[in-house]
Amino acid sequence: MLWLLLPSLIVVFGIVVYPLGRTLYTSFFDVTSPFPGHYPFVGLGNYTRTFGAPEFWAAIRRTLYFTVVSTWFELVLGILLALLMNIPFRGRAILRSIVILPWALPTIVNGLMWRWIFNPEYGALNALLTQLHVIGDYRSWLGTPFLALNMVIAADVWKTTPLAAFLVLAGLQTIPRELYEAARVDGPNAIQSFFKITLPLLVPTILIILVIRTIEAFKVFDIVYIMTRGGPANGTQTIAFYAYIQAFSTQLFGYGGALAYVIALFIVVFALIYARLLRGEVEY
Amino acid sequence: MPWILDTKYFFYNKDMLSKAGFDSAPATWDDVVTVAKALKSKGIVQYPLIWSWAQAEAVICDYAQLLGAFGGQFLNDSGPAFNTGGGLTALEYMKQTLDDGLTNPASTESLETDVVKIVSQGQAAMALNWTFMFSLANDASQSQVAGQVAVAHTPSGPSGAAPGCNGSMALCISSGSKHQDEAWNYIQFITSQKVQDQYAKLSLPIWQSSYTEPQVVNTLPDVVAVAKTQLTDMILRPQVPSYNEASTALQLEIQNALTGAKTPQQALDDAATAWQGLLTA
Repeated sequence: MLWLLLPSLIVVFGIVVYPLGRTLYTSFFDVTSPFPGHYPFVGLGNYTRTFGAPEFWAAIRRTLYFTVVSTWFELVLGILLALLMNIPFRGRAILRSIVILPWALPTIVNGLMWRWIFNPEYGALNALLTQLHVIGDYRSWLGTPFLALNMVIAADVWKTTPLAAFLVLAGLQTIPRELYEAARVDGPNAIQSFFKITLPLLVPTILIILVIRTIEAFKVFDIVYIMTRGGPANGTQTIAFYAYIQAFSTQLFGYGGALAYVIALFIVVFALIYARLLRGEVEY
Repeated sequence: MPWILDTKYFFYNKDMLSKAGFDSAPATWDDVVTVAKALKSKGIVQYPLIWSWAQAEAVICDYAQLLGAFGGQFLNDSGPAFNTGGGLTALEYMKQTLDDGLTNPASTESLETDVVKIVSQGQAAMALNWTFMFSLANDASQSQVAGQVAVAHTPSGPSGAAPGCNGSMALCISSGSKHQDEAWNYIQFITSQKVQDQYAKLSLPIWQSSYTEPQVVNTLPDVVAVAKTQLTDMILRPQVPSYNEASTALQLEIQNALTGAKTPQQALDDAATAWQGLLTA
């Protein structure tokens, strides 16, 4: 009956193991074109080149900024949304379905949508802000490096906050009501009971969100590709985008392969840190 | 084998220009600034110029065209040369129009299609773009200024040079191909005058005699008239072995200058240093 496993084995080896191995192999050679041929073996040369490149560290700094800021906003907004969705009120089901919408959109659609919203000439953001008299003139949102990075973060936060919100909502529903009822004897206000009861019990959920989101954000590529292509002046060039440019535009496939493995290494480090943190959960 | 001929033409909104008192396209890049200042001061359009200066190949095309007009060179015998003379003047010109509020700040995030949209919305009066813009910007179903957008030879620099950036494409057969004869037959077919004349609306033919052929002339009479001179006056982007890498480095430094992170001189010097490394590698 083992032959029934064959299709899944082909899939696993064909589209996971083989490309991984092939990328690792390529990363030890100075491959400079997509054509088959004999390329010089450079050992760890591509890896040392990675750590010596100023563009690499600049991209890492941008990626860390993207990761920290986007994850932080997604978490805070996610908790607030989850608290709202947890209150029983008329129309809660409708609210929950609306909140999930951004998450359901494909990233490519989300990226295009925000590119249009941020468009300086016919975008909705400029129209809204000028009509509210927040800004006097139309502004270019993706035309300067640091502002563009923050606007891409805003688009990413809009898309991914629902994930955090629904994970927190699930976490909220596992908190026993008795805890709040018992606390009422001591008469805390809503804010006190949130910080003393709700938040500590949400720690495991929050950690899971942090794990998922930092790892995802660190690899961010598609939304950058759609919205800015790393520009202007490399302002939104994250590490994954840098690897893409090196491999597929400059055609340094060996160097690109090494970059891919370095990114994976960073993520493994994150995962190990989080794994340790998750072991020390709060128990009540 | 040449397949598609294209270059960047100068597009302008003739209604806007005539409101500002100009009856024809500006002949030089200095005239462009004069016209733009008039358009802005008379309140006809806030940002008269829009360009495709996003971090992409598009910015190199606009830069190449200005570099050619100002008499610059990408490379000379000793290596990169765009950081002196015309190459430097070109970037300083670009930055100056941004600083003076003549160029739309959105240029640093725009590609060629964005340029078409902004001109079509009536929010810019002048732009460089490929042939395809003429039909789109004058199509009433997509453009609010249909019928107002005219095409002209690209403006010239102080020496009178006015080359368009060469955006043509050619077809090749790889030496490893197992079907070289069939490939050649196909290439002969799609580059034949008969086939090319049929697609003139999207891409002008490679055959000189087509430009007097009524079938071609009548499809795009305005563009064909300009194309006759512009297509014989073009500038090539530099022919270097690792072109993508060189282009990426130059795009970055041009944007560094345009966004104010570096002076044009500093940015181009840094790009030249990067190119030196690529050329000697």
